[in-house]
Amino acid sequence: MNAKAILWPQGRYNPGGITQVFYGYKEDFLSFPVLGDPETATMLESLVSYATAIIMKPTKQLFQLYCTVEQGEIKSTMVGPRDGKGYENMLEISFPGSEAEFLGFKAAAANRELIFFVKEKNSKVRVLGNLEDPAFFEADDSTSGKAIADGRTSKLTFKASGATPAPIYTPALTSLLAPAA
Amino acid sequence: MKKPLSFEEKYELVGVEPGIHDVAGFGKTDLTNLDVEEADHLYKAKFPFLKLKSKTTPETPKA
Repeated sequence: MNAKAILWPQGRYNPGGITQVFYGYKEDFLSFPVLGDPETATMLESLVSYATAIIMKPTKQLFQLYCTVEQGEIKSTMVGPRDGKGYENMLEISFPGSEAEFLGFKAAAANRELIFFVKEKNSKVRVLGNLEDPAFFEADDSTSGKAIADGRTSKLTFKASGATPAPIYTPALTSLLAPAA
Repeated sequence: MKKPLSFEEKYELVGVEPGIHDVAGFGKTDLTNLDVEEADHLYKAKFPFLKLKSKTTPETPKA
């Protein structure tokens, strides 16, 4: 892979934050394109971009996981020793209520392999987890609040480890939002 | 002796683009240059993206 200039065009919009979060159970996915390998790939983008569709099993689809505006984020942290660096990719969401459906989701997801698709405000879709390294429920910090001014929130954190930051999904997400044929 | 069919003559990829894919239950599989023997094994194992091409018989012109 040849080195190339990494530039930033003046004036490009770059709003921070995420807009929507979708999740699926790992066992509902049929296939993932394999990301490029730094030893053989020719484009930097191919190391972290899914350019062809991820496919779910028949009748399966992604579902939205609500997140309060400006209270969710996707983070990547480099970890590991020299010559063995990798990434811990984390998704944090904040959910406002204590509805039975939401508590049930937490119970169902607590010990399950998950995959998340997160829309960033810059229109990129990031993928947390894959068939080899799925995402796991890492933490749940929930409170009813003590006073009305405190609010009721659940801050959920999901983590997927991998060789790269959470990859970008470039095909349209719409095909994953309806039951697969 | 009948010549064995090539991959392109016998199979088609359905619902997936060529490339390397991690397929549930099959692992990482390169669908770019599958040969017919590999495809036969995958097809027998119910690989989800392989379809046998239907046999087409050339139309015989009516007299």
